[in-house]
Amino acid sequence: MAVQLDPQLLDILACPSDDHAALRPGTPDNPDADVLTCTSCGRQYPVTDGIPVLLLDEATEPTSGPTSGPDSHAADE
Amino acid sequence: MADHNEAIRAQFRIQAATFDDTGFAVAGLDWIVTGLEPSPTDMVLDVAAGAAHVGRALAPHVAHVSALDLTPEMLHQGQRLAVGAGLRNIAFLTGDAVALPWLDGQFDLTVCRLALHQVADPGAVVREMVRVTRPGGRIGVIDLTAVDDPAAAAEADRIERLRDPSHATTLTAQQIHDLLGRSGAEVTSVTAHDQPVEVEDWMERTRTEPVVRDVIRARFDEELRGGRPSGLRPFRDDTDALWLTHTWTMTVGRKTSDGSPA
Repeated sequence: MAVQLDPQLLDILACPSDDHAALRPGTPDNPDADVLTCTSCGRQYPVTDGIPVLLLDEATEPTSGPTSGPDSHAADE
Repeated sequence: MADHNEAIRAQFRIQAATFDDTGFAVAGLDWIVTGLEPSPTDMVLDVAAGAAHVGRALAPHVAHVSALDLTPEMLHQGQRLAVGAGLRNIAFLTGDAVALPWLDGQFDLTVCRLALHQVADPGAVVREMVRVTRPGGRIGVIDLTAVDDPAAAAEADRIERLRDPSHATTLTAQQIHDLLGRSGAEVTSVTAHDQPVEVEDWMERTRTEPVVRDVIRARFDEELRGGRPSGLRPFRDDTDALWLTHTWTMTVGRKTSDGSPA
């Protein structure tokens, strides 16, 4: 099921990592996934029962995200 | 997840069902809503919202409320109560108050009730609250505040931790004032409110061990017999029920135009 959040609310959400980059619904492979993906680090955050879980500890680290090169901060904690 | 966050989650999983719309959970809400001066166009964030008692109380007066908490059980309780009340302008999100999942400068009013005393790094919470508030927007911090006598304040923290091991440190009103200033918000009002708390109910909600309850009762009785202050101002009512007195302080600040320290 695709993420069902008010688009205005989605527009202001950000990754909880320090650079607070914007989030986009779905994953690069599946735009309908119940997930929010960081446009910078590629971390994926689950949406459970309609509630986004925006915790670094519960994010899925990207295997090959948009910035998985040496500049990526995906391994930051 | 940090150990302290896990302790908080464990504690509020126990307490979630007790956060209904009666008794202690709604204490002080009218006072808080009045003090925050909500406006119909406000975009509001309720940080460490629990079951979003403040967020739900504000929702009828504002454009929209986002409620964030670490404990899913508390959010589900809040969502259930919001649906029951017919509130449609509130969204619930799981997240950590020290790493807020929003872009900078989005909210007109960012509030946090009864959480700073619970977290390991209250300064980080306030910094994040100010960050996500728009320049000129308001930040409202409502929390227990400590007595000025450091020995009594430390004793109050010790008793609070006996009752709830996830209690961290109760700040003084001055410390909260300073945290806001350092984070880029100019404090515009500070109001205090005595909140009596029935001791047996207070210990029951956290399912404090019976032997620990005896220790706490004995400590308050010691003060009532003229012993050292516990920092929690106990008293007995007409029916001989034991109460303590929390001081709640509401500190409201306005974010400076460039977010520099006030």
